[in-house]
Amino acid sequence: MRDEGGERADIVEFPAADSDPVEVALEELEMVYAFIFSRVGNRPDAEDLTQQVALKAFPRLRAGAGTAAIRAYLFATARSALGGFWAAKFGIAQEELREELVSAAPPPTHSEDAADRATRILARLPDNYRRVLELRFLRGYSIKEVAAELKATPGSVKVMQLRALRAAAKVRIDV
Amino acid sequence: MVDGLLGGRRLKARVGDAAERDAIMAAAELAAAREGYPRMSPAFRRRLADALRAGQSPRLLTRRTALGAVAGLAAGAVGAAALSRLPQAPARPGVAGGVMAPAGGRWIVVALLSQLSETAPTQVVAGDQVAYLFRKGDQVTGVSAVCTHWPCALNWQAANSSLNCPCHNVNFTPEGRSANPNYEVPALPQFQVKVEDGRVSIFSL
Repeated sequence: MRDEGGERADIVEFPAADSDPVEVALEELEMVYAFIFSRVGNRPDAEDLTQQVALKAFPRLRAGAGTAAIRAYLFATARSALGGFWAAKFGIAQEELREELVSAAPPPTHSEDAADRATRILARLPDNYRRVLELRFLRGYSIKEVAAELKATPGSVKVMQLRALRAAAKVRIDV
Repeated sequence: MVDGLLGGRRLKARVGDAAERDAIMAAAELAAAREGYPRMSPAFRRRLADALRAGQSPRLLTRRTALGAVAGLAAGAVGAAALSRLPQAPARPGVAGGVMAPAGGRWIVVALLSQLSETAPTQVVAGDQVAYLFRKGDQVTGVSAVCTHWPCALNWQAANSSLNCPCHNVNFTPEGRSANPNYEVPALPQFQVKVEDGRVSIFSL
């Protein structure tokens, strides 16, 4: 490709000529997987969605785009897959989902992982809400164990957990 | 539902009101915090590799045909002004971006030239991509509006004429180059842009 001045505009094809396209794709898909996992919170669903993204994106992108372009497309596809996932889970149209809740928050990185983000979300909650979510999600306590710790009934812990999650949902967009 | 998530099982959500849906998404995100930075399990990675290899067409494009196909696609269709601004693209993956030339892409009209400001970029959506368009006279260039480090939407900062990623506070020049002396990130992919009869199109999926 040449412009009027004869200067060549480089185009990097995907994958590089001397690399295995599947291995290149897998490295990119690790980030996609981390992103999706940070949204759905469990491996089986994260694996299904990652595979869905991989199979959709791989054939379309392996010829003629730079890695950064591939990354942008992979994440666009991942966001779309997440939208479809939540819409299917909730039995609603994808348009009814609030975009910022599905995907706007940044995914975890090596330096600032999901646990840091969770801690920051919890730090914005009232003490009792933060305590119940810390025990449940960060320490893995059961409802009964949380009830024993907080000297409450399991029923009241369940109610508090739901209220705390609703409060967390409101602050997680801004964190 | 929370017990299932914390047990590593698939998410089972009941259909509730909007507040309950938001709470379920928050629960899923908090459940993810247990793994810090998660990576694919070796078994899943193998399955995925097998699936990708099985899904490949028998005839992979070679470097030469890929370049030829892209060059042919772009020749005569892309504004020379847009191409002359392109940065040097990298020779290996993972370093920086090049020109968006996705297989199966198409030209999508995204704006009228008269709608584009010359003092600030305009964000447009084309297919499943979002771009910032920069206009100088009749010439328009476009870069991805998504950070290459993590997929966060970039913001225009007029004060320093750069695109800023709010997730990690890194900047890109209007040409898409990384503008962080101590923290190099891959350049933004460039869009192919053309202006015809006052209509601005970009090549996208």
